[in-house]
Amino acid sequence: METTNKTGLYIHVPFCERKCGYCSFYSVELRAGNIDSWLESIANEAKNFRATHIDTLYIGGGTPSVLNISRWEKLLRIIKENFDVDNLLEATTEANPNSLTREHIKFFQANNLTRISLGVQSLNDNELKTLGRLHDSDKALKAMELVKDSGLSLNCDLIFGIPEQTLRTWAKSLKGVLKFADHVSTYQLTLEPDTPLGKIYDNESLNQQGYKFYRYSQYYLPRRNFAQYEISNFAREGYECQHNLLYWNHSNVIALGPSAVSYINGVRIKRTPEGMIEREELSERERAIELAILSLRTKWGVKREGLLPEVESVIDSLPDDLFVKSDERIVLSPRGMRLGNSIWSEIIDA
Amino acid sequence: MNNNIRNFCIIAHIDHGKSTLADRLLEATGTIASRDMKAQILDSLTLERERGITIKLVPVRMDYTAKDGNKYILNLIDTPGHVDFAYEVSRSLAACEGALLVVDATQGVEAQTVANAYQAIDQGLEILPVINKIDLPSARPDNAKQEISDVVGLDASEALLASAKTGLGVNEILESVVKNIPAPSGDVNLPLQALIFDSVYDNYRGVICYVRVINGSIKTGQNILFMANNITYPVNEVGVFKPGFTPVNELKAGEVGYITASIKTLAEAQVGDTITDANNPATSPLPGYKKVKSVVFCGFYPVERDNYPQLRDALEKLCLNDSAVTYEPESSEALGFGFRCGFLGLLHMDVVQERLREEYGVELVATAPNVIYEVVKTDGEVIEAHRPSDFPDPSEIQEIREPYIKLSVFMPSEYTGRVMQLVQDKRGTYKSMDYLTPERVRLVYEMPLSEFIVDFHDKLKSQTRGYASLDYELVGLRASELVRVDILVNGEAADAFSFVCHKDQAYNRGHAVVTKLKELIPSQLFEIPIQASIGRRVIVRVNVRALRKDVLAKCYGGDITRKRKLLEKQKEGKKRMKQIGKVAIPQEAFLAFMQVDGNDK
Repeated sequence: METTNKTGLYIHVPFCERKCGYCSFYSVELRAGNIDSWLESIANEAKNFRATHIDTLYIGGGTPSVLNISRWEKLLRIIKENFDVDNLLEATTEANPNSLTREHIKFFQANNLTRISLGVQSLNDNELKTLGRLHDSDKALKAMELVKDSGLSLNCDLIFGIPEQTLRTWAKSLKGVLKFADHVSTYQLTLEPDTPLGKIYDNESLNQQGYKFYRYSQYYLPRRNFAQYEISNFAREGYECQHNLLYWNHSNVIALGPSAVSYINGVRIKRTPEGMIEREELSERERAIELAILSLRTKWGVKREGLLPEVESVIDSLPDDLFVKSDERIVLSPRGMRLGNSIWSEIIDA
Repeated sequence: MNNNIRNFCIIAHIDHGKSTLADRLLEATGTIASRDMKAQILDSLTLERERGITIKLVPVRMDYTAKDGNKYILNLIDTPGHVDFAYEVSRSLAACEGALLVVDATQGVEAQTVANAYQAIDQGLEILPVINKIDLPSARPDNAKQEISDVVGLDASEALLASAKTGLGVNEILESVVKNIPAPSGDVNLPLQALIFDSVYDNYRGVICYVRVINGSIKTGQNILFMANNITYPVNEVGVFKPGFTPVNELKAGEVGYITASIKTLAEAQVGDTITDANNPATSPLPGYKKVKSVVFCGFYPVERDNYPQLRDALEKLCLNDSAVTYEPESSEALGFGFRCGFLGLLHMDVVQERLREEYGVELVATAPNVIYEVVKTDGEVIEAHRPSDFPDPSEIQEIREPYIKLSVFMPSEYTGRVMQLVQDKRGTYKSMDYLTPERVRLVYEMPLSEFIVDFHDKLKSQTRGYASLDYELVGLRASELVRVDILVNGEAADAFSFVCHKDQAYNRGHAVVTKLKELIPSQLFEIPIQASIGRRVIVRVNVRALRKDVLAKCYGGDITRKRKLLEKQKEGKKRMKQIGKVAIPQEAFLAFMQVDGNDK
């Protein structure tokens, strides 16, 4: 992949009906007063970017679908007032099957959102319970149907490595979402020690079980025309998430909201939930190494041209079956994708 | 003129009550009031008190008025009981005219009773047998006497019966010491000859030499000559052990005491050397001691690599007090910089390790103990091999020799079969077996020292429920069919894991090592064969399976920095591992290997 001159806008909605037991993202349980002051601060942050042209919009969380229509109206007004959104390639919002309504969908259609990313997580009710989700498989199916019928593009998030999960239930969940989705993100359950589930289950032993699920996804999804275009993302051709691609090729992304992280011309800026600004400026070399690592996450891999010679020689020292190499590019093989961390941890130190 | 001095020591098998008896003698002579008595005053090292063993010899002087009305000076020189410290025993014996041979009435004669008694006889000491612990219901003093006469060969009909615990028989022992142990001979008018039988280092006074004056006398201010090194010092202080250092004006022929002379290092005042008068020297030194030779070696490494200087300082200081430890710097791929240390035996090694920890606060890793091999090459050259890597190519080896010991085990006869089995498994060769009594047996074997130092003592204890006792002495080098087993990781020789063993054990031990390594080397990006080989012949092979999955999916804007930090951490973890070829091997593998047990399959 190559760095583009595209710019993305991310907005973090830090509210949930209830916090899931595995989640370590920043969010708080819904209380009306907070939402208004959050909107206010988004508006304040946005002023700094007056009229900046953006190519992609991504509203994540948290749970954006807990916002009612009038809050949504305010949010989109802030965006339109402060950014140039005339030629958006893609506009995504995340949503929860428990709170996504027909009204939301109508509103999204009317306001040029193009894509819904739905937190389905599983189509097995026991697994959903273990995860502490508010919805069951039935609600998930209804929500998927709702999006599908609207004609909006649909991504479904699925989680593997859930305690008690079997390859069979995983296969069923995958198959189930394919009826509706254009894009599937598969995430391995990763328990941070400070989360409620992290206190019950041992992350290490859950990790050990990830292989079979991941391997099966790599087998099954491409056969259903969902190419693995990134470590955790599969899509039909043309449905790759344009916004997320910006992260992996070091394009600029403006991020608003508590805990959101912007990347602007080699500088990463995080606004902490407490309102502090953390600034990290990457050196030329750090940028080059990070870009190589991020590019290798995708099916387009890294271009040899411009690649640091030391990174190239690290790659050459690793087993051949981890890569597909051409004269122009180096791409991870499916096995390479399974072993990404081990590969990148070599590259990071090149 | 020295008729009122008695110099004696107590010799006994470990746990037969030597230190307790010494305490009673101190009390009975009023040297120490019983209220000041810390349990076993003579065991002054903390470690000695904790373990209930005596390691360093400690002298003490007692004043005693005998039944004949005369006043006597009794110098008691305590001795260690453990076989590792036999050399310390021989040193104290040289300063004495007599010895109490203490035998436990419930146990009878044990292996070290015999060894120590023979040493005392060899030095020409008068030996007074004492049967201790006669207050115990299971005491069988007559059996013990019988064993002393049958096994040691000493007349025990007059043996004193005592209980160091209750104080029974203590006065009789003191009377017997006065009556039966000869007063020291020697002439105060001859030129000074004083034997250094021990020395300790004191931060303020320098080296303190423990001396037995044989002829002549020594006093403060006198210029003395250390005959071995030909160095002269003026004496700062002379004194006796009351206990504790108590200055006196003069030490005369026959007396035991100490001197200080601002001596900086123990090497200048070697144990076994003779001190004489610099202005009126004796014509020849006293017979000294055999220099003790280290037989067991291991590496000491600091737990934290940065603590190497601390370990070095601690070893230097410790050696001021324990001249039997040898050390030289070495480095290990796995452990960094450390020292290769030589010891008198396993207990000695253990004791030094604990002293470094307790007294100097050094946390260290000790590698598995080993011995020195002698390799005769085909071209006739003879080399000493400390480590497997010192071994030449098999084609250049004519013969390999290893140190052997003569091992005596005393035990109840019911365990004979098991002990024979154990010793034979350890490549022992049978020498003799005799019944001490119908219930007790002495087995004598010869076996390689290398087998003895691994875990023989523990195995013996568990096979005999602690009822066996042992003694050993080195009997020299013997040719053995030894091989060096190399360990190959992904085709690359991993020196740190290679080892030397008898050819019959090569497969089992090679199997144990590769299996252990397979457990400890984490899966990596490729399959890793681990092989054990002798020369080019591979005898065992296992594979570490390639890593299957190592990726945690998500990585978007907010995750990237965190993700990078995780990767850096992962890389750091890998850096702490030792790279052999393309394979990263964790520290634990090196550490675990140092404890690998050939029978641990």
